[in-house]
Amino acid sequence: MSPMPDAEEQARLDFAIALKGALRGPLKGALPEVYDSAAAPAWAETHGRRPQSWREVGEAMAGQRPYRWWSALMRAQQEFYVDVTAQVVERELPDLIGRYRRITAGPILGTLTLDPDLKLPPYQGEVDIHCVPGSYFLERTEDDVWAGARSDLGSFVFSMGRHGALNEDKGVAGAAFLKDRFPDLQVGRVLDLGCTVGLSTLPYCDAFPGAEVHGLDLSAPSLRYAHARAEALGKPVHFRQGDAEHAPYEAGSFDLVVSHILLHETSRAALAAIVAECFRLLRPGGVMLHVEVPVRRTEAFDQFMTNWDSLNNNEPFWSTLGEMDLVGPAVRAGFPEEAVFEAVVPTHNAKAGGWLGYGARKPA
Amino acid sequence: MSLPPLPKASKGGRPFFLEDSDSERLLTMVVALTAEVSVLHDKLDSVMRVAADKAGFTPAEVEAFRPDPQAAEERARRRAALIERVFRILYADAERAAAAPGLSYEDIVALVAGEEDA
Repeated sequence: MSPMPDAEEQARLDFAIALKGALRGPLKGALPEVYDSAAAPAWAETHGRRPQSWREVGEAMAGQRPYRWWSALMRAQQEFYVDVTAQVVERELPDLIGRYRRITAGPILGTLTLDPDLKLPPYQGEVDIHCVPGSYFLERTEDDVWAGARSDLGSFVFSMGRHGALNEDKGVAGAAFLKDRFPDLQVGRVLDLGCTVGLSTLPYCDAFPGAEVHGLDLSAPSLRYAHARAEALGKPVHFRQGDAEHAPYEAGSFDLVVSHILLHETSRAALAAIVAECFRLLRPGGVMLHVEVPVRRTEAFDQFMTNWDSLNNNEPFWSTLGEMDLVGPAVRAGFPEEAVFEAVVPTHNAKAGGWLGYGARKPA
Repeated sequence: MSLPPLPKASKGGRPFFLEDSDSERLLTMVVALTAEVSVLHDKLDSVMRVAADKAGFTPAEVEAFRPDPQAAEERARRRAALIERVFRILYADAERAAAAPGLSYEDIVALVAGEEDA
């Protein structure tokens, strides 16, 4: 189902990847030194102390030429790769819609349930996440899959292939983490919130054979694409359009409710509502796990650099999430405090590092 | 299929980092132009490799050519080198930022000029 770039488009994507790789090199590598030897002392001269919070680090760095040029290139790179992936999918769109119709007309393993009356929450409606014009929601024709296909291609280019051939790392890592931490957990029904095109949803079909796997998302174009992609890959998944704050499923009907890089694209209020929904949806003894970008940093400078995307790549909630107490929302949702955890979810495909795992187990 | 054109601006505004936002607009054009140079290099590379295989070839063969792992690696090296060439001044700034501050150019001129013999 995936869009296939032609030779010229592939060369453009290769360039985008090369530029992104270059921007992780010496231009970025010089920034800690710029901070230590120039930015922090200059800020300290007017404030009588060195910067302490990541916001103060940002104030200090804002005037530094190496930081400004690196940032300008980062933003230009982001817009360029989004534009190229958008054009690839635009060229292939008639074919992709045809494939969607053919695949979903045949015998299918899963289901797709759309809700044309769904209202977008403001945290998605007011901003085009990742600077993608039209975001996840652009729909210009019947059975439009543009936004889903672009997201699939974009995710692969953005992660530079480091998250597996099917970009499945977060799902594979999440499932492995759950099996390791909760070996006794019996999994018959799984719900993946904010599943987009199902990159992280499908691994749960393999990790828990026989389990009924569901995916919920706000975006119809993403879900159409997810449905056709899952069918093409032979994975039975039930996709549904809906809002994770008011998930259209019965209370106590899931053993496992998961999400993957969903929370940082929501809001403080939505996060609390989503965690409360997780508690409602889980059966006693069931587990909630949110696999997130590793937003926590101990050093102010590292936190500032980690938050670059939040400030400059249309990820408005990322920086707030990095500082939030996540135990509170879970406890207010009904989880016992001792059942709430934050842990590193080791990455499956990349050489090092991990995702931030946030979750809790509902008492049996 | 006739669709309205894709939007080009993302909701959420656009931050600028350089002191002059027009310079940054030019930078985004430089990035896109550099990409096109890279695309042309890749296409030429395909042409040459196809031509090397046989005397005559068609545009479709060039279009269908996919580099083997070794050729892909050579292209990747050339792309990385292209980026370093185009943005060389920024790499130089980065090196200067990381190095211990040396003498200013004026100081060096004065140093080599020495003092007139008394």
